[in-house]
Amino acid sequence: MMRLDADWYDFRDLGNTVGSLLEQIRDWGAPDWVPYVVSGLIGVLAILLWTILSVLAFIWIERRVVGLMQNRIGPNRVGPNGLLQPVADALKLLFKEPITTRDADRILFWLAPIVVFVPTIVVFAVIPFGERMVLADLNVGVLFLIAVGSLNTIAIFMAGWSSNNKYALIGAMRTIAMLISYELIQVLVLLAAVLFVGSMRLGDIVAWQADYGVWILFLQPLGVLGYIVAGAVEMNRSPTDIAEAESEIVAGYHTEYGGIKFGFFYQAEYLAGFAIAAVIVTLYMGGWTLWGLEEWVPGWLIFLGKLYGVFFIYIWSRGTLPRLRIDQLMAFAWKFLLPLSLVNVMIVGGEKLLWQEAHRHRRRVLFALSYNNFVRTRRCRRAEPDSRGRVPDPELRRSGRTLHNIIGGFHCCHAGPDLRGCRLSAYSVRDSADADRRPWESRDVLASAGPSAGAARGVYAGIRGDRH
Amino acid sequence: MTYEEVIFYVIAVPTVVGAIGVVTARNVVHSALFLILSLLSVAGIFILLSAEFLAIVQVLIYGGAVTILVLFAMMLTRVRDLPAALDGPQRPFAALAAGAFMAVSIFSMVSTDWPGETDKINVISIEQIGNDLFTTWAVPFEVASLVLMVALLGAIVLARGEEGE
Repeated sequence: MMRLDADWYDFRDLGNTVGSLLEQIRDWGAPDWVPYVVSGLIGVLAILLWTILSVLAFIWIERRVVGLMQNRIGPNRVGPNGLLQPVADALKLLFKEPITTRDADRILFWLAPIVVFVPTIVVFAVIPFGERMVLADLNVGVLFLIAVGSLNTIAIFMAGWSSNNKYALIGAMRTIAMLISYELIQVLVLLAAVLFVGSMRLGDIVAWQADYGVWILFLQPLGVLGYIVAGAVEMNRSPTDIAEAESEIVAGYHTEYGGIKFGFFYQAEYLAGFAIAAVIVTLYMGGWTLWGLEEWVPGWLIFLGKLYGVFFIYIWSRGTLPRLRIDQLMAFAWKFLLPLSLVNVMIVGGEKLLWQEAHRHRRRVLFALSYNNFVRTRRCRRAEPDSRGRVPDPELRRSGRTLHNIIGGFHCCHAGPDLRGCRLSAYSVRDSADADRRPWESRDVLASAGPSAGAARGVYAGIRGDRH
Repeated sequence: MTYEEVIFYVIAVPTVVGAIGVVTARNVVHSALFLILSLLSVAGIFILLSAEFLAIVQVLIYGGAVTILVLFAMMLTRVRDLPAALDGPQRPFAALAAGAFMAVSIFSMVSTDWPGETDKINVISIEQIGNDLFTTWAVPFEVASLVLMVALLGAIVLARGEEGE
């Protein structure tokens, strides 16, 4: 695993190259701080370059892929297969006149697109791209992610408020309302991941997953679900892009922005998407490791492959799911995801206890837990009849393309008497009277828990306040 | 001047500028944004002192949560530029109170016997913070949670009462 003494040309980990370079600088007799500053600059430049190239590439990929999904062609005129379209767009944005509306708060209006960039870029400082390819491996890395992620809001508020436009203000308000709600879920979900590993350092979390050969994804499917949804909200992309829902509030907080200032917001949104994907990959999917393959293939390539794969899920959902209304999104956060993530913490606590007790077969216990989770999740997903042979709703099985059903994977099963009325259907396109006729209930969500399910069930019922 | 000092001044200037901005800005939203600047710079000072955990909690709670709530409240109310003179007959009392507070602060700063220079940094791990919080300081911790809980319940009761009327 450790390749600390590798030669500079060992490109499996670009940290080797940088490390050798820094030693060289030190040998030349430079003061202590010079290698420090140089390494920081190299890291920042590399991250900037990578993000810009990735964003340009993914603008094209996204437009083509969504075009395919929606039975149209997508950009195919500029360059081979339209490959140069993002470049053309970027140039166009650069040459457009930067307009500031008369009643805008000039300084804030100008500052907002710059400020929005900072937190999205800074997130990448703690992400390990490879074993030594991390700019700052903080021992409070996970907290750092949450803290920096919440700073986005300030820039969006600045943009929305300074525009002096009611749609912009509504957009900003929606963003803040959403982020307050979904940040809680993020914290709870990440707490569960940290609880299992016992460290907040992202490097440790990756190493833990590599050591035991189990991704946290398999141990905490509910946590991943929560993080994916909360991440989608935070990165402000369809189906959760209500902060800029063009059918309701023009373009939300950046209604008044044009030219390169708008370009900044656009790129920052993409970067936020990459950041969320990077966090998912690092925390839940083993980061730059892949069951030993990282010995042969550069870890950063594995990492980027996983990252683009996760980001593709977001593109996919954008192309297939309709936009939610704000009340649906808020209700979903507070009535479904928040209780679910609390339950997840309980479940993970139980798993952790069980795992700690197993001194000799720790790895096997992990595998067993993963298998249990996988099987139960899959069973719920396919909405199979439960043990008492009740036939599930056929309509649910048919409607395979809505968020309702993806989430429904976790609430389509029937509950026993102990969980009666405990529906997890906070997000439902149907009205509640209709839902009462078909009580899709959630025992299996909790049962996927394994050990502490009983306790979790009680707590969950308590949270929901269901007594009937 | 060592480079630590350079960094300190780079961080200290926005802290002070932000603090002055909070009280001098005419617009409440500008004040709130200055407050964010000041609080985030304080986080920078914490980092300089190798208190990473404290710095990040500062960003999370003050930079993120508290100021966001302030901004949220302001967006729901009508924000206007303040009239030129926000003044009143209480001015001498305010000056007295502020002067007294400053005098006490300066006095305590001067009279404290500071430990002097050190080249050893005590990095406190999160584990230690967690252990201390749940063992040595368990009672204050619980009391603080209780206070927050009461505030939460109070907010819910108030909101519910309004709805019923």
